[in-house]
Amino acid sequence: MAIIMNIDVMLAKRKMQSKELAEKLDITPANLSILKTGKAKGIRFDTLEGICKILDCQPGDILEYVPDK
Amino acid sequence: MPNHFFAKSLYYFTRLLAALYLLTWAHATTAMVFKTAALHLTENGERFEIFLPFSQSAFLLGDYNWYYIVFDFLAILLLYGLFFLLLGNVFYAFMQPKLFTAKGYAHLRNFYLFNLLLPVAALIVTAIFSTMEMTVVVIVVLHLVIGIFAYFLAAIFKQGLNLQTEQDLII
Repeated sequence: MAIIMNIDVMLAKRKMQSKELAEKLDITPANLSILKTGKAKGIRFDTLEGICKILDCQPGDILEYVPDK
Repeated sequence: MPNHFFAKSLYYFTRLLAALYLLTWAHATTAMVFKTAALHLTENGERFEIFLPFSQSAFLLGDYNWYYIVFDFLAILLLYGLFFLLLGNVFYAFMQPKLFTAKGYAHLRNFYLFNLLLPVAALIVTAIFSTMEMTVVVIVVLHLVIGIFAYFLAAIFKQGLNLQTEQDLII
């Protein structure tokens, strides 16, 4: 997948654990892990909005395009 | 929901039929193997009767020879017990809140494999050891039709399962 999510970087900056973010987003830790490891097929806008709100960031801070080689 | 009501009703009905067939098979097998009081031979040992448990009422009859007992009697009871058990599993899949699941697909796959393979195998064995009747051929063909229908239903379920999995991966 060419789009990767850099949630771990923002979590470290905000000193927050994955479990806490999952609880605040109301998604399972397993689904958050799917997002972080790039196995997700897509992300809903309301989930993206929730991540940006909780981590106080912009979508561009957590979404990155890395072309497939 | 109406479709859940039908699936639930059919599930319990097929479970009841499966239990009846399998209990009958167990009772008949026990009677034959251990020559219990439930087994009664008639016509100079040419025919048999099996009584209902704890009664003198005959409810199963047949020819008293090993190939009839094994292939035309006990095997049929066991196979139809399994048929209704597997059919019940298919209805169980339709009872679930989520229709396209790996378990649901597995139930359908087991059902179509059973209907495509076992009746034909039973027919071949019957043809070798006993006399093949037209009624039996018709029943085997009916099971093949059911198996083919279930095969296509399983293919739809597989596609649905793939779409469901992909949908679940949109977080």
